[in-house]
Amino acid sequence: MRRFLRGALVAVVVVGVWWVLTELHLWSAYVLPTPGRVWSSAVEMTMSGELPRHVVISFGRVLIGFALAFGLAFALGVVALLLPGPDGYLAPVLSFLKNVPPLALIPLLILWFGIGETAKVIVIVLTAFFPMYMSIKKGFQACSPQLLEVGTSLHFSTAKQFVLIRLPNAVPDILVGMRISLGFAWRALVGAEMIAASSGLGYLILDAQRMSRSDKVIVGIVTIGLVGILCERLFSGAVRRTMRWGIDDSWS
Amino acid sequence: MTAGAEIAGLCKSFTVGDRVVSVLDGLDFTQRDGITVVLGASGCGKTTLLRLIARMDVQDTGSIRIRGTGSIGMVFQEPRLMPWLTTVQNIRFGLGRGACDTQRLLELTGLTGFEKALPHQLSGGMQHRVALARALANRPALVLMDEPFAALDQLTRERMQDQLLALQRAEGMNVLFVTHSIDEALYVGDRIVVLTHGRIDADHDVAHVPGQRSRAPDLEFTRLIRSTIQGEAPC
Repeated sequence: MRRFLRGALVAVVVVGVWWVLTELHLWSAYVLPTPGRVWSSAVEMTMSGELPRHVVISFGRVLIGFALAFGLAFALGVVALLLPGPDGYLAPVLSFLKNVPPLALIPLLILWFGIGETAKVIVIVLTAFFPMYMSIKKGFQACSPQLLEVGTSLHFSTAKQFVLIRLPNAVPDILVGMRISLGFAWRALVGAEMIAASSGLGYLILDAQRMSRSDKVIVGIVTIGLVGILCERLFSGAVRRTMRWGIDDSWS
Repeated sequence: MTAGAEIAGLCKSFTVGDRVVSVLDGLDFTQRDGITVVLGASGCGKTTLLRLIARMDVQDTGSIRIRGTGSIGMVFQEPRLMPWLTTVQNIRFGLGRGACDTQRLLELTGLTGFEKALPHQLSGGMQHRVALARALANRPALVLMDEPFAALDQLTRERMQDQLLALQRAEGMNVLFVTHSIDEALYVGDRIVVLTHGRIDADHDVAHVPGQRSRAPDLEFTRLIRSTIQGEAPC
């Protein structure tokens, strides 16, 4: 609760400074609309259903991209652990892709996949994939040899050792990767929805910019931030409730 | 005789850098009933011997036969509990749906009331007791113990030694117990074998040694064992 109050206090201070600056008329209302104007736009967009519609669409895209990225990261993490040979071929490709910003691929993605959902989801997947892949790989490979020896002493097969020791031992690392990736997925959203979209919060922001509605731009930005925080809070809360070990204070 | 290890001509060497270090060099040994203690200085091959018996490693030459039926339980120097599992889940670890009288093991090891505790919520001694219960969960005929109490403080170690003796009496399993402590060997052992230079150098049936199962062991016997170990040191 204290943490929430501190956050709320910071928000009040920011809005207060913003309000004072707009009252001083240092910039035009187009460059910096008043908090009141942004608030009334937010209420209007919410009541009309426009904002909820964009939120639901963006949330769906983030969820799909995040889920696909997790599946891919998990599968490749297992490959890296069990098949070091093929992983040797895969590693340079992944290293290359890790260093290429997904937004740089947008022209090619449009060319290859058109302007539908696929290209947008791919951008989110590419952004969310790497933090999860690195964490999952680390989690699997950094398993304590002492714990693995317990499995050896019980004559576990490789599969049983993976399921009963490596995987549960890697859960804290996997969750950290998922948490970082979730944030990255939301950050990639605007980029993904720049691909000739007609819906979603990224589209909302770009459309508002074209219409010179900076109040709507701010509503879009704030909504992305708030939904992102909400997602992270829900995720952290679920993790803290279900995990009784390997979770430190940084999850609160 | 019930379950036990029968070892003949066991050799094992390791490559360290560009050197080949021979750890076990033609070891012959037949385990008898009760608690057999393998005593020796650090690095003399005690742990290697246990790992080979537990099939966690493969010997270069020689044979290991496990006499009798039943499984083998292993207790390591550290408890090595799965941090994400509760006491009961750790005891049942690896058993799947296999039958296990968990309640009885909890009572035998004095862990009743801590069934749902995670390892980090238990004291060092309790963690070792969970590890001991895990090794006994499968009702093994033979339990291998690799310096299981070495990391514990004196009082807890003595309590664990008593617990081991009580468990051995209750369960009737044979134990191969590795330690570098002469006092511990005399307290828990029915038989002490001294390992030096990769071979059994001395073999004592200690059932009738004065001071066996006593916290004040016979000094003459202690001196004899020490000289056997030190005479061959360093190994």
